[in-house]
Amino acid sequence: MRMRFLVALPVIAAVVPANAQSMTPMRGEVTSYSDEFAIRVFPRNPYNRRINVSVRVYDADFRPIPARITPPTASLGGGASRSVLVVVGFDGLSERRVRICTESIPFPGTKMSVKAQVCGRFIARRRS
Amino acid sequence: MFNLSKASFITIPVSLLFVQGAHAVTQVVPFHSAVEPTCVITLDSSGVMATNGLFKLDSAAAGGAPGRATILTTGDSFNVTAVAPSAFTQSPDGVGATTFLANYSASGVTDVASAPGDTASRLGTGTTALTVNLSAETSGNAFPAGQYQADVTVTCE
Repeated sequence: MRMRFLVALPVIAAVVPANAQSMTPMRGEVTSYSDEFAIRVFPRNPYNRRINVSVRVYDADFRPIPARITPPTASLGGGASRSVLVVVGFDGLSERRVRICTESIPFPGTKMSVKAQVCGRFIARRRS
Repeated sequence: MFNLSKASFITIPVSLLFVQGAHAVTQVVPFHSAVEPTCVITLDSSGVMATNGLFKLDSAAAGGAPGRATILTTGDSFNVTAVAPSAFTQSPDGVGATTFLANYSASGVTDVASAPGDTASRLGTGTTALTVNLSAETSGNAFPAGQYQADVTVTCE
């Protein structure tokens, strides 16, 4: 038991940077029995100031695809996160691979802005 | 007789303390945690494209500055790209057809000397410092005077 406690300490220390997570999860597989599947993601604002983030859905080739995203945009305070529900149709397919991305542009108005995009990859399978 | 009972009163609690110490136990409380593989992009600074002649804007030109970002990963399955835009997000009227090129370099747990923006590089686990450059070259008339903005998309997936 004492050994377990000692081993646990570095793990707890490693959790500290998790305050700056921008989105979780980033990998996943879903099984659905309907024409749609749902994935819940958690964007996080890694900055100390409030930013606006948007969640978008792409296919395996990075083409935007229709999805119900609730909410599609959110204003997050520094270090805050919130859940976003993404519902995507199978579009007649038995398996669908999608990217769900959290995007933000915190430095607008300059000559060259860097847009951060963190994308999770998900596989959804339809069962009848 | 009175003194004897007083001495007993003092010594009995002390002996009780010894009895309690002999029966003390140690209990370890375990802590568990699970860290999910994830990726964080923190933008440190935006870039500046300087004019390089009349037909080219380039962050690597004199007076320009690259964009900088820090990427933190908790897993080893992530890749990074820095994709150039297809158009300006802000520009004056009269801008002709423009070709954008982005490239990036990485240091820290990821070592990339210079890679085309759309080439994916595997990120190491930990902190990566990313430097992004962008150029815009027009094949039409010279860039007209005004304010320009273009966005490079840094993707971690």
